[in-house]
Amino acid sequence: MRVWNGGVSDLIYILLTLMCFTGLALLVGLIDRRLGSAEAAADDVPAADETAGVNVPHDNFIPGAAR
Amino acid sequence: MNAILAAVLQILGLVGALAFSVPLLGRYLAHIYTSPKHLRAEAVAYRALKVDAEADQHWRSYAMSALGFSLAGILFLFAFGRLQNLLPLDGGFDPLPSDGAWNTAVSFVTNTNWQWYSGEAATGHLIQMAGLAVQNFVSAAVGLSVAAAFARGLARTRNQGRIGNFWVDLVRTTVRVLLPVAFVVAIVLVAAGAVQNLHSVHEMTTLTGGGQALTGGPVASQEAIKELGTNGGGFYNANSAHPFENPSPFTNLLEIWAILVLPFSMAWAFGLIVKDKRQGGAVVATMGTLLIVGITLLTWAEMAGPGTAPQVAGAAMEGKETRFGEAATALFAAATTGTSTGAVNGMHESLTAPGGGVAMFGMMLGEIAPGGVGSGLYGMLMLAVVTVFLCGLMVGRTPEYLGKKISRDEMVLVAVYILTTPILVLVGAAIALTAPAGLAGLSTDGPHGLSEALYAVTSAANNNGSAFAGITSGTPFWNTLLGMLMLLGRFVPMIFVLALAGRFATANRLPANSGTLPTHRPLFIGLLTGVALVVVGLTFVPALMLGPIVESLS
Repeated sequence: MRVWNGGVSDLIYILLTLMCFTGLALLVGLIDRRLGSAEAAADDVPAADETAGVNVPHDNFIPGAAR
Repeated sequence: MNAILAAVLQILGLVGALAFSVPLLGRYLAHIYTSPKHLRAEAVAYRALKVDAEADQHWRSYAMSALGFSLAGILFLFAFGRLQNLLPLDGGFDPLPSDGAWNTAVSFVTNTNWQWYSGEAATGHLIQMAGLAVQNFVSAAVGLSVAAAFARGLARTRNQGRIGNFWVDLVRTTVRVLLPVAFVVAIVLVAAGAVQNLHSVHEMTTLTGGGQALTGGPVASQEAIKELGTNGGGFYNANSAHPFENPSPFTNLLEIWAILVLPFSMAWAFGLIVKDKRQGGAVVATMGTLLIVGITLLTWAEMAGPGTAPQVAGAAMEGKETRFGEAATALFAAATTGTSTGAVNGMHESLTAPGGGVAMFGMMLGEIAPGGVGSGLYGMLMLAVVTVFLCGLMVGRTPEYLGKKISRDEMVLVAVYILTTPILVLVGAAIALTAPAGLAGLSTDGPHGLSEALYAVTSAANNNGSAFAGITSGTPFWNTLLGMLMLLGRFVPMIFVLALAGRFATANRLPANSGTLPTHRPLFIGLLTGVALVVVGLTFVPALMLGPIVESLS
């Protein structure tokens, strides 16, 4: 026998959907804020420094990397 | 003809058809996603939607547009299901129950198309055409749009996180790709014998004097987009095992081609969008390798695997597509679980234990072989980032992919993307296997019962839609649990993908040098394939051990 039926259960599912999408929208905002602050920090670094050492072994330390 | 020879010829025919069509369609897709020109019909749609088609959206706006569009789709389809008895062409059916209407709405909007109901016994023609079929088109278009945005993110430099216009991508994909290709496939299906009408039930008298009810409807038009959009929701409960949906061996092969062509073509288009065809070729090769392995293992399991039936009868035929042979079911099952389709031409519950395990593993891979329309490409590209990162760790260099530096923030996004679906699957399985309402839905206990639950949650969280059909999922518990898994399994990873696309679009492109790992060579294809298998293996083998592997050994 079905437990849920009718208007109340419709409302529950609509609210569940809205809550899920609110959570997803908050996740978008959270990531954007975090990435935005990371980008701002990266912008403080002079452009030449950004690429100068890339792909040169050992100058960009990666924890756990084999050496 | 020898069954093995027939199986090999069928696979070769499919590979030939794909090899011919994928580059053509891939080039067309790349043109669509990079062209600045709009068609007149598209301009009308933008005006109606009040969309500025020239706006280049930040990834955040792109994600919010995709979420808003999908939310509207769920609410609309939910209302459609609840009110179907008040609308024309309802077929005399009652409204769907609340939990069932919600599950169906989420299922079709997320491109999953899990069906807890029998299509011909619960839904009228209007909801099929104006509700479910519409979502078959637009949910596929959302996936392709996100993949195109990700490719654009990799192709752009210093673009402040701008990755394109969601509404333009959505409209172009629907108008220029899905509608015309689906129209052609539908016409071919009708010519080959699939049903297309607005009739209701025909009462027939059989040769033995018994009665039989045959349901007509707009089947061929739904069937075409069901496969092309990797949707999978059948007009009939038997899905593509029903002769009205899949009348002949030719339509069977056509439907398998339709399942695979867009995911492979989008990967090809990726290479063209980033202006390096070899990159697209490497992704296609990796997808193809994984798919061929899946097809081979599934065909072996069904024709010569463990069990009395395959050994004595030459194949495990119970529950399979007896008209076309066991190899046709194995090929269809590998294609449908390698993509996010979920259409079936035989019952997956009737697969042998190792065959069912291969089908599950195909979904657990994140459906990247070749995956859902769009989602397969971005899933594979996320693994490509993991691969270059691991290679960077091994040699002590800063990893980069297509000239984009992979730093901590990028890896955090990729890591949470990779973790999201396994968490949903394993937590979902734990809930299902501990709650009395979950256990009540299983048709049996022991390893096969566990496989039923594991298959259901894997299918939902990966937006596949196929099932071990012994499970009774039309209950509030299962409808709600699987609906949540479908919703979160679709949109949470999508947000991480778009965020990473924005990050790449902002970054500089570093020039390749002697320390750069080439990502188009066979070595990288092998590494990428290995990473995909190891990541999934480490995550899911314990669960698979308790289900299909124990069942195979018992």
